[in-house]
Amino acid sequence: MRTYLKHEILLPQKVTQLPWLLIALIVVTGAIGVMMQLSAGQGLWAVYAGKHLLVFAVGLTLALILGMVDLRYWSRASYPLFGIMLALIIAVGLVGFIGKGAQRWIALGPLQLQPSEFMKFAVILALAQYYSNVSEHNLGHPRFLIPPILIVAVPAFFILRQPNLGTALIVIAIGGAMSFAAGVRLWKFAAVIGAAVAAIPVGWHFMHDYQRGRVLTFLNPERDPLGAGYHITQAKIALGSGGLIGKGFLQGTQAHLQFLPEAQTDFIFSLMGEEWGFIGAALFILIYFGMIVLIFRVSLHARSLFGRLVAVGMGFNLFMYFLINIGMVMGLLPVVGIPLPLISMGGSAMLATLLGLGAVLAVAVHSEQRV
Amino acid sequence: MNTALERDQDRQQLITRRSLMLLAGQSVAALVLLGRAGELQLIKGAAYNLLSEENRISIRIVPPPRGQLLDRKGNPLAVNQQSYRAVILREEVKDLEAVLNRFADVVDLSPDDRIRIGKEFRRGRNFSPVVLKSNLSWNEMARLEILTPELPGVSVDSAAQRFYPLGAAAAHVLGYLGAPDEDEIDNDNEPLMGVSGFQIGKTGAEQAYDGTLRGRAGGLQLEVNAKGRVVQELKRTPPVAGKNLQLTLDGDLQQAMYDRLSQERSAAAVVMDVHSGAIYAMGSSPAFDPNIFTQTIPQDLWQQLNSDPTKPLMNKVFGGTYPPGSTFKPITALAALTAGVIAPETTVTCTGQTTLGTHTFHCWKKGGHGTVNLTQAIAQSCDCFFYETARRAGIDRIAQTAHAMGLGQISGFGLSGEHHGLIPDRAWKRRVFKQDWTVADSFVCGIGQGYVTASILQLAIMTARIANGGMNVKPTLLAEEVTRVSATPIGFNPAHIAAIQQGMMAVTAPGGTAAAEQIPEPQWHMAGKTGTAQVQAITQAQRDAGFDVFKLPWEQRHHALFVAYAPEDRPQYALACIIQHGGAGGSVAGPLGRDILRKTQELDPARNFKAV
Repeated sequence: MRTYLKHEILLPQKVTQLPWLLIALIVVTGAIGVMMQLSAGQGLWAVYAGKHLLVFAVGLTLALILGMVDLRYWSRASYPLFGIMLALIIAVGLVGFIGKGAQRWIALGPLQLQPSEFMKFAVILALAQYYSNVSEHNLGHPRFLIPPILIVAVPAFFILRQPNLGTALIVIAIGGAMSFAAGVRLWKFAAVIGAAVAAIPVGWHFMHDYQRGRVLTFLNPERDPLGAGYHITQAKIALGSGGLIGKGFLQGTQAHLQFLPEAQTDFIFSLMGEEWGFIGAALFILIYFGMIVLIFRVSLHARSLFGRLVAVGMGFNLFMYFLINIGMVMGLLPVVGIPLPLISMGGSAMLATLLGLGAVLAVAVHSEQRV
Repeated sequence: MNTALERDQDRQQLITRRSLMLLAGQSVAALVLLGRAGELQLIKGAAYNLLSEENRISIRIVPPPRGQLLDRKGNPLAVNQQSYRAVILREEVKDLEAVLNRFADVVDLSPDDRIRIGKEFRRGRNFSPVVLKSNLSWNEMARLEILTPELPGVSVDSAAQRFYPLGAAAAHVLGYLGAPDEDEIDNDNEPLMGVSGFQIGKTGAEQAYDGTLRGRAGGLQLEVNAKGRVVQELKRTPPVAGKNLQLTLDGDLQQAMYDRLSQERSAAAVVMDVHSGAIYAMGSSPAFDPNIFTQTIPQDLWQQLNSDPTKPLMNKVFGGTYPPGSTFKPITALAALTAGVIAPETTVTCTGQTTLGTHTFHCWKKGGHGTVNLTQAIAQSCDCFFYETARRAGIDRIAQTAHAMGLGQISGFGLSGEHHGLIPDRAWKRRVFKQDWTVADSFVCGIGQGYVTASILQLAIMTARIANGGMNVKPTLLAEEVTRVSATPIGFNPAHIAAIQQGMMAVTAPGGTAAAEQIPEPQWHMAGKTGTAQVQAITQAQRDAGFDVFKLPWEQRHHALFVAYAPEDRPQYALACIIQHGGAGGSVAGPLGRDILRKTQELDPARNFKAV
């Protein structure tokens, strides 16, 4: 098996190894988030922005600390962490109280955590750990694909039952992307996707009428003009009315006259588009995507398979949120209730995202290390 | 020959290649997003800007009319009446407190009202009015009219108000409407939930059939200008009215039953069809006026109803369980007959007491009944006969028979809040008390005391199943279910059921415990069984001192129970009733049951049905 080179790095060296450009983009994104929360809170810090800033600061500090942790510890912790998170997610189903009609939350003293956010993080680590220990030769055998499928499917099943369709789909997408990056052959993807597509009519047959109604509304919000359709219409009006230069900070009428629902969470991108116009929206898309590109760069520069796959997973996770949230707000994708990490209000999602970025920092710092 | 290092490098290259492919795909997606933002903001920006600046679109939810509840003859039980209410539009109000203070000068506003208005004001959607006060009187409307200039955003509109023509008489079975509470609002995707003034069924049939009665919300798409004023209506999706439901109840019988129940301090009764299971009347007294409940319930009334020891808010027909007392004896007898351990001719000699080990079990009749057979034992409710019968049958067979007759389980007829009651057996006692079942336990349970409890509804089901010859009839409140469901035999020997019927007929015949309570008209004669359920055991000291139940405080007196069916020769109606803490059974609950069954046969609901 693999031989370990003694490769201890001292803390000062680690600090110099930090990817400062990526950190700068994270801070800029966080600052944009705080400004948007200030606007969503009618210019008052106490409504959303103060808490947003606090969670961001705490999360970023944690990320920097996590970035100093040796990759071998990450590797060793990945399976136990996965087990703990899985137990927690099952516990949410049992003791989690009902928030917005879905069992997604677990109360830890004053903190309310959404374990499904952290579950994704654990899935990425576990998959990276698994694929980095399977040789390419073994990867050719279909039976070696059973563990990663379980690592993805079991959490996805429990997240789906909460019910949280959006997050469940993202977990599956991450699993697919990481398997793809790890070198699983393309025809196997084709087989799995084909099987899933073939299963759709069967599942449809067993669904209740009201469940079918929900799926149809998910695919076509216009079916529900009082609910999802209304949200999308208002979000598009908000975004479009921003024009080239926007209405100006705190001047978004759609959001501030409360036409725009959930302006501080899922629909925050329309608020941004309304107030800052195309210039602001386009710049934001570039900054956010730049952050994702830099995460992939960390992956390409890492020596260890584990590190590379962790960075790919985290980067792809951020990308999925970015794509689904903005796509939804602009009427390109169905309404799934997915936040825009670092920008949307919501402690769990931001904390989980920053912890994930902490893992990416660790990969960057220990890029020369073998695991 | 690949070395390990080369293989590793191959893998690294593969991953690099695949990662770059992923990144390329992501870049395409990011470009699509950029393009879409350009399309919406640059190309269509002007159009959207117009929509946003000049013509904002908002939606006002339009509640559907709620379905009506009708009785079996098509008469109304719960209907919608036009009423007037004061509402306020959020977007026209700057200072809610000031408006409310001025409003309170002419219309009474309780602190609870103010809290509710504040909550709905914050939660509600734009352009959906918040109800300040419903059911305005003419007087209040006139005074509001004068004050209108000083009340920005306040207007009067008309809305449907639920009305129950029978009032308190059907309060428990029909239930009432109320505003959904926070939990219900959060956990229901129903858009109506957030609409101020929207009500859902809180108890009874209103709650059980809420889904059918509710209907579907409509919506108005409104064009609103930049100042928040409605410019015009763009699109209207009409609401879908809730369905009307016909119940099996007979409104006249329900009223008559309640009038009779009201003569007692605390009582409940139910009448059902022995073949179809249709519930013709279900009453509980004292009751409350549901027409007050659909408006804001005054705090003091609520507290008074809640602290009343006679529990006016509870439907005592199925919301509570009681020791069935001697009304349980037919079950013990049927279990023993089915097991073959007694026959209808079996006799037991009652000396007024039975000794088991060192313990003495008393018959209710001092001095005893002498030698009695099954018919006589049921007719005179001889405890000693049933001690012996219970001993022979054993508790497990008794429990099995009780379950088959509908005891110890909820019937699931529709309304929520049914209680299981308790039918003990050996396994139950071992599980709960970690003790073995004793013959003494069988004695006590065999006469419907001790651990045994049942609801009045369960006793009515038991009586119906005896009356119909052992068919597993189930109760129902829905007229459409009556024709759909038919009862099947439970599997008892018809001769055994007939022997029980024989005994129950003797109860109301000369010599029986309810002989004086027989219905005078021969064609309406009933068969029944009386029951006295002890709330507390009678001590030997009390017995020696000459026990008199009416000297006890009210809440310690025995419950009086009566079950019956009629006509006794071709059964149609089954009844069970209770007078809480009424003292003795036959002489107290008997007349109540007789009056109700007599009225039932006079009105004859089974032959008076008009489908709507």
